[in-house]
Amino acid sequence: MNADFPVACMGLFFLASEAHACEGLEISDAWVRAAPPGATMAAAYFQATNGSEQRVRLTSIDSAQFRSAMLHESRLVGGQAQMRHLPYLDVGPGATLSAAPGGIHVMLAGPRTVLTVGSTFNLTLLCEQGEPLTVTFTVKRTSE
Amino acid sequence: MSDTPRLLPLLSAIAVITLAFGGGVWMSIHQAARTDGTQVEGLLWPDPPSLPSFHLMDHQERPFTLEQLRGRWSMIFFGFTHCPDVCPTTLQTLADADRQLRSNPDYAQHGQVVFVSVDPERDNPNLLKDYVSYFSPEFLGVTGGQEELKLLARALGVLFMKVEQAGTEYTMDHSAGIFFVSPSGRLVSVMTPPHSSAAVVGRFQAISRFIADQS
Repeated sequence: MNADFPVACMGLFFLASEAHACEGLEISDAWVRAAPPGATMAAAYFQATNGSEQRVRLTSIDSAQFRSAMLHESRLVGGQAQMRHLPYLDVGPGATLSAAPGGIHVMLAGPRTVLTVGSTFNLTLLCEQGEPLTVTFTVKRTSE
Repeated sequence: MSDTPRLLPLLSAIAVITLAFGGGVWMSIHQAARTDGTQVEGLLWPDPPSLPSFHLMDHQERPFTLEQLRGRWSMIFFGFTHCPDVCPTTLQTLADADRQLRSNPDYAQHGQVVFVSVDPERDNPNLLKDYVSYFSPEFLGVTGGQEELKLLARALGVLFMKVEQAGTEYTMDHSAGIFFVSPSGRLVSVMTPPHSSAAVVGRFQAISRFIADQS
């Protein structure tokens, strides 16, 4: 019985570790651009800081308020704006990733509510490791 | 005896030379401003391309042709309403610039922002109206048939292409520049992204002042 004690302790330790949402990812400046009534698309932006010593891989986004939410990136190639789906997003240990206009963003399709300035809604970030991380986004006209 | 009478011819000569030289310098500067647009950043000069005739439709279902570009300054941006990032970001920048430019007499009376949708398959006039009006009630949303869109796009050096995406609706690749068309229907400047309202305002003021000086 005594021999089982350290194993049980390790189990508890791992449980506590796994309960850490997205392995220590912290999200700040979470906002979404206000969109015209009837708009079918919107974009969400944020800063993601990885305080852990492991790489964090963000794999998908969930939201009840939109038909779909996907990781996307806008790129400029020879003056052409292109938008492409990103299968995942990595944030290195100690690094901060900026999802900002004209670059990485969450493409939100089919909003189920009107995105009026000042309103808020939740998006859930799903990572390769750790619990999902639910973040509140505020609707704004610009990042300021 | 005073030296003044003897100095007078000399002083007169200096005055004449100064005036002639100063005038010459002024003339040459002025002449340079009239003919050489290289001092104005981003100005397509001395031969800005004239736009061809084209037939599109605005968000109020009125014809939008070369006539609607004549007699006023236009800032044109190409995009589509199912564009979540680059298009609303640029239209917000143009809305901020448009508001600041209302104090510029060249722009206030006749300036316009035109959003050309390269996605007529999804962007009908109603959708375009709601979309552009959200950024400014003054903005014009414009679209039309593929061939007519290509006519205008080609003249401005704009490319656009439909791109299918797995698991979601298609997207459009499109040139992300802002195109400045003068009241004579000529493409006088192209701004490349990323855009800021201050840069748009500065570009408009510089090129409109230069064009006004030419007439």
